[in-house]
Amino acid sequence: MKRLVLKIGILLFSISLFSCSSLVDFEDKPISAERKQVFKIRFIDQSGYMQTLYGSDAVRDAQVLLKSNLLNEEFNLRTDTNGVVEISGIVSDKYMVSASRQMNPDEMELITGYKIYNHKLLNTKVKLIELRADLSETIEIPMDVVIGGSPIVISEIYACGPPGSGLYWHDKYMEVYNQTDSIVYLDGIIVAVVYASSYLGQNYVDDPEFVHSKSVWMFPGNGTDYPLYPGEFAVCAADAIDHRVNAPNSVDLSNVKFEFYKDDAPDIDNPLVPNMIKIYQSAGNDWLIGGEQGAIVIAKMPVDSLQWFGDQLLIPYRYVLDGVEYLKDPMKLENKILNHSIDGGGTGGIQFYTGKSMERIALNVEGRMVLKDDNNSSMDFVVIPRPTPEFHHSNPKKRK
Amino acid sequence: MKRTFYTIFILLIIHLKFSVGQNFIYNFNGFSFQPDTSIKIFMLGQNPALLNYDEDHELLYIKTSYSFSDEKFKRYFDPERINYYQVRFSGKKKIGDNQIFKGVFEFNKLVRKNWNWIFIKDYNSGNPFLFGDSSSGSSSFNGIYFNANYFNQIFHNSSIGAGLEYFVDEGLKQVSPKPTSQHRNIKFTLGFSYSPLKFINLAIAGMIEDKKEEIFYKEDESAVYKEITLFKFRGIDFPIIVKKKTETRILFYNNYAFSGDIIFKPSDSFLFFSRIYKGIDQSISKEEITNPTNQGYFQNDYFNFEMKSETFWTGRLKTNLSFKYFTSSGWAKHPSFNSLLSEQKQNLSGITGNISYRLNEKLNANFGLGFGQFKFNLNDYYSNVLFDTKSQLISLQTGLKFYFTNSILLETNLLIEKHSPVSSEEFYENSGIYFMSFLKNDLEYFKTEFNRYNLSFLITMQLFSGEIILATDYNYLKPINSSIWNNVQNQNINTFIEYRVKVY
Repeated sequence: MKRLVLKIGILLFSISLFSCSSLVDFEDKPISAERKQVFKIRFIDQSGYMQTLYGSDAVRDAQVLLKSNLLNEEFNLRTDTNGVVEISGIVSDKYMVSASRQMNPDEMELITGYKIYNHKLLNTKVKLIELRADLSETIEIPMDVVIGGSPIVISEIYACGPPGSGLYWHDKYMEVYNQTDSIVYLDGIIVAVVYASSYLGQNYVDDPEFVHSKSVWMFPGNGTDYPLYPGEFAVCAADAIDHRVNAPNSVDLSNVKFEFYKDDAPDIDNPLVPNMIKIYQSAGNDWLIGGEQGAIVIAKMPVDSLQWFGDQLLIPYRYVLDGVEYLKDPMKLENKILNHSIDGGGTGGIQFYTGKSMERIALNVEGRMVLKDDNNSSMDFVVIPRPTPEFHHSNPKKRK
Repeated sequence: MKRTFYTIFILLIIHLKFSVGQNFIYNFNGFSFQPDTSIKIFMLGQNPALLNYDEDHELLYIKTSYSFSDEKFKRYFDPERINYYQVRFSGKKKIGDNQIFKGVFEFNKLVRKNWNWIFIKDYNSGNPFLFGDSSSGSSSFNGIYFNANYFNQIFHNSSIGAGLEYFVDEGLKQVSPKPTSQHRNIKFTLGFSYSPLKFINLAIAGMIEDKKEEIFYKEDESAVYKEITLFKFRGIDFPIIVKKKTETRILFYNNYAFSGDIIFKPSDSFLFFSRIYKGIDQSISKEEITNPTNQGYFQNDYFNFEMKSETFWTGRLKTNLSFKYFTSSGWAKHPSFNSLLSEQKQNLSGITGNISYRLNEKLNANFGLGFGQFKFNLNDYYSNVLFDTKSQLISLQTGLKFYFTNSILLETNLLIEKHSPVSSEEFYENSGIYFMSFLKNDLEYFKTEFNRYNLSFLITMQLFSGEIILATDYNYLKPINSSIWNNVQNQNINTFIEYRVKVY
């Protein structure tokens, strides 16, 4: 009897210890260490230009910018004759990729027989890659021909509200900029706030065709009424007033070019500022964008072509001129709501009522200011300490 | 019976690989080799099947203690000041001839002042996935601790025991953005002891520990207009910096350990105790409660071996010898990819000896020596920082035990330790501003020579139909030849008063 009890005791003890191992979920120690991997990225031309010129689809001499999502480190690289960039000593992360290969007129003459300007190869399809120390395979990124770029870009979004004035948020605005060296007419261009609802579990980031919106507005005019001159900005303000009266740390928007006025709500209207035309906004007393996160697109398309999807309007991607997403935590790209083909990243990281704004980075191209537009706001935008309506923070003298 | 013994032995060997523990002595300046003056088997073994070796009597113990430390010689994430308050009730009771119960209930409060950035409570466990914000200030943790041990002598030569520990607390950082935290620890130990011969006792124990830490950054009303910067570390450098007001971090910590003890006592004049302790702990960090995302995995394997002996040569002369070896090896895995962020290894070994001599009926003196060495190696691949150091420790101890009367006993002890770096190597390149400006000195900390002095007093008085114990312990630590910690010192005082009374 004694021996039996003892054996049972030992058995129970043994089971209890063995059960530890079944409870435990130990992971295996990884073999690959951080910063030890040599990463290779190969850029492949899908237009046939490189094949014609060099007998290979490798995109040689392309400028490549890699930006890590978490650490914001940037690396400028250039592809070799095999269309490959190699980089080592960096940490595993998601990296935004911006690759550009400007086709020079001589090359275009060899390809087409004509000296053509403004053709370039861009990575329009793959803008976000994972470089991970545990994988050594070469990553391949396709590049396509892009002729020119969007003449108008969203140059600034100010959404968080000013500091020190309670919950004041009426000074929100978005700004557009004429990138070209010729006049662009804003008439009829659509401004849409991208719709998603985490509460309802609705996120259309992976929609292959359409931007979904519940807030669609349009610039007024009949085609040539509202010109935007080369290098000129136009602010569309939620309320075009001098907000410093209500909030000393805010901004004067009384002289901006456009105002969102919601005529079916107790909204403020500055009669001296032309109103944007409301096509559809399902809720709210004013044009509304998220204070810490959201996305805006501008599109050039016939209003009649807008389609309904339930209580949302659909804007086909092919009509989108530009789109910008800003996130509460720009490192969490998994929370994006705007398709990667329009904006591969996300700017932001701004908290409510800090007075900060998001502005596109300025580049000096042949003596004029061109705003960076690689369709990746993680790389194209910076956060600036104060809003800069209708001027760029790098050139405050141009302020009106 | 022989077969049973072998069965246990085989089980012991089988379970070595499954078992775990804790003890990552990242903050190595905390280690000490104080020569033993006695062997407290139950305390050392932490095996409830050895509760019959516990020296405590069948009394109610009521203890209130306070400790205070002021440390300028510290790593960047160590708080500058610590206050710790404790009220503790414990008692032991024999039930019949074969059963013993021992229980502890405690309230405690921990206050960390001038604590930089980090709000992970066990920030020095070796886990590199630290989390906090850009503020520095005071944080307090109010906790309740409960511990119960049960022992049952099932046969004349074998016993089983079970122990349960439970701890909960709530933390608050008192400066904006005022994050809060909750901790819950449960530890269960199951032990078995067996005496094949009258003078030998073999014991084994398995231990499972489960800890959970939840940290909440919420919208702090006082910081509506203040920008909050959160730090998420993955190594000593390149923290991920996020400007946001709300965040939740959950840390799951599991510890699995196994121990084996041998107690050899052929006569009243000789005692030998040996213990192996092997374990694995793992820390899994996650973010957000509704949709938890992985923030990192850290695992630490450790092994501890110690031997202690106590010999009474005569009625007056006693010697204690001990040897300790401890090694641990930890590694951190990337939260998203199967890659190694860092590895760290440490190794500690030491030997101590002590002689106690009873000069007369009232006076007892002891003198001890200790020698130890410590190795620490860090390969932080993520931060591009490699560090390797080796240091030695020599300790000298002397103490007196004086009976003023039969009812008043005074014990004093003085310990002097010298920690000397023997060698060190370091490498870092392309380092970020956080390492170069703040955390680089942590490497220097590990290779700085210092002396530590400890002076303790303990008075035991028979009063109020019980026993009152007053104790104070003072530590003084001073770095030597340091350009960074020049003319600074660390001071630490621990004091307690305990009342022991027979109430049952």
